[in-house]
Amino acid sequence: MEQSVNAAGDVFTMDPGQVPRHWYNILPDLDIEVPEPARGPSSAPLSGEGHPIQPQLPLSMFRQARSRSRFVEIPEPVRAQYQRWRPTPLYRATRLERELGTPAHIYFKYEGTSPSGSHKLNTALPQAYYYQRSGIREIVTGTGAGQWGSALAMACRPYGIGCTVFMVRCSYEQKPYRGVLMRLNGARVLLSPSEETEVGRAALRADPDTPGSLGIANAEAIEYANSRPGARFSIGSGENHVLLHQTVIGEEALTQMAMAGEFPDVVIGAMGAGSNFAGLTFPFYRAAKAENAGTRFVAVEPEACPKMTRGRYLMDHTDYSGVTPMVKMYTLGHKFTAYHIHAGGLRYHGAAPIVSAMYDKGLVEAVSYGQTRVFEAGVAFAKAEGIVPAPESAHAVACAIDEALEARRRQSRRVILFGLSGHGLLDLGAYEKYLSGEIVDSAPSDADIQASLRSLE
Amino acid sequence: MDRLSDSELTVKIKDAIIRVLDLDLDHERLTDDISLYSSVVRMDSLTLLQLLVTLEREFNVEIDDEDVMNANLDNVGSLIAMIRQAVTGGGVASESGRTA
Repeated sequence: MEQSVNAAGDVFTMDPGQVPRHWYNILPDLDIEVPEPARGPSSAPLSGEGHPIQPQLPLSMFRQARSRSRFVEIPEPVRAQYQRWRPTPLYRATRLERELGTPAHIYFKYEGTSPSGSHKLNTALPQAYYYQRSGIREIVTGTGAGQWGSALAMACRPYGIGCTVFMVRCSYEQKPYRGVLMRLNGARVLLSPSEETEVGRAALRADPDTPGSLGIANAEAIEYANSRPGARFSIGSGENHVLLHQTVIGEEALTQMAMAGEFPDVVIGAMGAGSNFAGLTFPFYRAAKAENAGTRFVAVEPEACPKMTRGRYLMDHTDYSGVTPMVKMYTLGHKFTAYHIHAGGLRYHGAAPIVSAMYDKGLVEAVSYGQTRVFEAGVAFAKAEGIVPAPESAHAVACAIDEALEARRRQSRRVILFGLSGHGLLDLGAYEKYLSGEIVDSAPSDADIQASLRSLE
Repeated sequence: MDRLSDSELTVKIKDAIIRVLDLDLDHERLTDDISLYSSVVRMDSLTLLQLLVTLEREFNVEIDDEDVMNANLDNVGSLIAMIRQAVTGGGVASESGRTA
C-alpha cells in the first residue's frame, strides 16, 4: 500500500488498494432518534385493491440503510469499480490560504476526478449493482443539475440496465451538456415537467413557464417507472442508503488528514438533500466523537432554497405529487419550487432525515449563501487553486473562505476541511453569466415559505 | 429455532405484520384474501421492506432481492407465501451488503 504526499506537502494521495472496504453507518453512533418513514394520506402509487406492491428499492439496500452495524461491507465488484478513480485526492489549499492571508489551514477533498465529474458515482455504482442483481432492467430517476443523472447513466451501462432520466427543465437549459453526457451513455433524457406523465402535464397546466423542480422530476420518474414492467425508480440524494454509500469520501479523508498530521476543527459540505454533506462529515463525526474533538459540521445551502435555515422539521413527502411515504425532515414543503439558481443540485425542498435529526439536536450547523457570493468564492478558488468548482460545491468554498477570514480576524489557527463535490467544467455558462454581471440573488419571502408549508399542517 | 409447523409459521408471520404495521386486529382476522393496499392493512412499498427486514431478523434468514422484486404481492396470502418460502427454504444469503 502506498500513500504519498507531493514535494510541496499539499497533495495527499493513496493507492487504489486503500479504497475503503466498508461504508460507514452512522446510526449506531447517534444517541438521537431518526424517525422512521410513515405512510402519508396519498402514499403508495397504483394504490387500490388487487394491485401488487412493487418495492422500488432492492431489499439489500434497505437492509443496509437500517442496519445496526457501524460498517457495511462494500461488494467487491463495486469496490473494483471504485478503484478506477478512487481514492480521490485531498489537497491543502495553500495558495488560497496565502491569498486570504489567513493562519487557517484549508483542506479540501476533491470528488471532481470521478468519471462523471462529481461524487454521485459513489452511490450510482452500488445502486446499479443491486438493481441488476434484483433482475431490474431499467432504472428511472429525476435529476436536478444533472450530476446524479449522468452518474447513473454511466453506472447502468456496464450492467446492461436501461436508464431514463427526468431532468429539471431549468437546469437542462442552463447545462445542456449534462444531458448530452447522459445520452452518450445510453440514457433517455426527458425535460421535466414533461408531457409523458400525469404529474408533468398537471404541473405544466398549473404553470406553463415553470422552471421545474427535483420534486416534480422525481414524481414523474415514479409514475413512469410504475408504468413499465421491469423498471424501478431510484434516488440519488437524501435516502439513508445513499448517505451510506457516500461515506467512502469521509473514510478516505480521515486517512488523508492523518497523513497531513491534522484533524479538522470544522468540516463543511454543500447541502442539497444531504448525501455530499453526509459522505464527508459522518466519518469525521464518528472520529470527533471518539476523541471528544469538538469539531463543528456545517451544511451550506442556497438562500434560494433554505430548507434548514428557514424550513421546519416536519413529516413531508420526498416528491411533488405526494405519493412517496412521508419522512421527518427539515423542509420547505414538497410543493416548493425554488428560483432557478445555477446550483440546481441544491434546489431540493427537504434535507435528509438523518441530517435533519442531527440538525434538530444541534449536532450539525447550517448556513445559507446567495449565488453572487457563491460565484465570487468559486472564481477566487479557481484563480488560487486552478480548479473550477461546480456551483453546488462553490457553496462550501464560500463558507470555507468565511471560516478562514474569521480565523484571520481572531488570529487563531483553525483547520478547515471542505468537500469539493465536483468540477464546474460543464457550468462555464453560469460562470460566464457571473463574469458578465448577470447573476442575481434571490430568496423566498416568509409568506412564500408559509404558503408552501401550509399544505402540511 | 425449532422447525415450526406450517400453521405456527403463518401465525408468527401474521403477528409480525400486525406488529410492524401497528394494526388493530388479531391474526385470525388477517385473512389471506385481504389486499395489502386495503384500509385494513394500509401497506406501501416502504412498509413492506420494513416488514421483511423485521422478519429476516426474527427468522434469521436473508431474503433474496430478486425474490422480492419478482413477487406478485397483492394480498396477505401472497405475502405470507413469499416469506414462508424464504423461511422454509432457508432464504438465499446475499453475497454482499453484509455488515461487519
